[in-house]
Amino acid sequence: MGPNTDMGREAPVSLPASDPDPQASLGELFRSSWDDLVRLATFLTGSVPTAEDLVQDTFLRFGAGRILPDDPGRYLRTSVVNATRSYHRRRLLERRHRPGLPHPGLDHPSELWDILDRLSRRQRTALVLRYYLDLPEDDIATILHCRPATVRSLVKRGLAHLREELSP
Amino acid sequence: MTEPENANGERLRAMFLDAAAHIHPTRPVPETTATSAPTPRTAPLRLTFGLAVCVAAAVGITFAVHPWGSAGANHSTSGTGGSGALLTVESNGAVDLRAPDTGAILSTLVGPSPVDSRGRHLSDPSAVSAAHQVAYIAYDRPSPVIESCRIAAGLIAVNEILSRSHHDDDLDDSRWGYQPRVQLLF
Repeated sequence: MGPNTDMGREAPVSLPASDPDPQASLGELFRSSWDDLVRLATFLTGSVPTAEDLVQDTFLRFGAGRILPDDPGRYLRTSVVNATRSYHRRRLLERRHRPGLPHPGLDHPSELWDILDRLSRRQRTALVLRYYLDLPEDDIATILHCRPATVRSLVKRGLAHLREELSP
Repeated sequence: MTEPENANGERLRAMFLDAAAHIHPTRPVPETTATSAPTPRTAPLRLTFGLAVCVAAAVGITFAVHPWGSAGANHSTSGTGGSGALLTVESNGAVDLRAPDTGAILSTLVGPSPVDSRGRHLSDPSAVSAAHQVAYIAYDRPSPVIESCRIAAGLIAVNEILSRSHHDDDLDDSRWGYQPRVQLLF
């Protein structure tokens, strides 16, 4: 299951809100959303192994939870974004104490990674959620804990920042 | 959003899609069979209902037990289901058996101003208790001491005395085995 290409608002990670068998729904959710969440985390962190670690941690916390969210896909997506935010904070702290710490490499370096690395973390997250997951501004605002106007500003500034790289 | 921004957005979207096609997780999807499923949202409701039932049962049990000192409490002691009595000690040293519900004196085991076996006046009682049909009373004067007093024939005997006293105004304590006395324990 890949990202939507028809400008739809449905996120790649989705599951019926109510499932009669939580165990089966959890397993199905895990199998169906693993790749998409890893891709999302990869866009946000720039590293596939790191993304896999974060997504796996997210699933572990999700499986250990006592309450099944109404929208597990949305919950997992938000959890992964939060996990990447914590990862970036931890990386920032590590670099502060170890300036020579190498950046996790990419298996398939491309122009996109260079572009994303030039953005601030919040701009990068906003652009990924907006143009990869095609999420509406309200959902992005919920994930980023900010107002929709702030999301519009982040997206606009991010695109402006990448104007030269993105221009054909 | 301006036209160039839209174009840049579309360009960025295309780059995301192209890059996503090249991102392949290196690890297989972990098995989830051993993972315990989260509890659905309906579970807290069932838990709440269960707790409410437990609380209701506890309240019912609390109100169903006999009052302290009632027939139920003394049933095992008497073995015959007497009405029971409270053992009390007055400030003047008298030891009484009282009705648990009204506080009326059923009988007096030790009269006011008791004396011990050496003829000393006991006063300032501080505590009273009973076990195995023997009452124990702590007096502070003339010196701290614990005296014992047999509850003649036990609580049932006292109740029998009380019940018969309704029909016999000339109640003789010695006749019914009611012989209050004080003896020194130490």
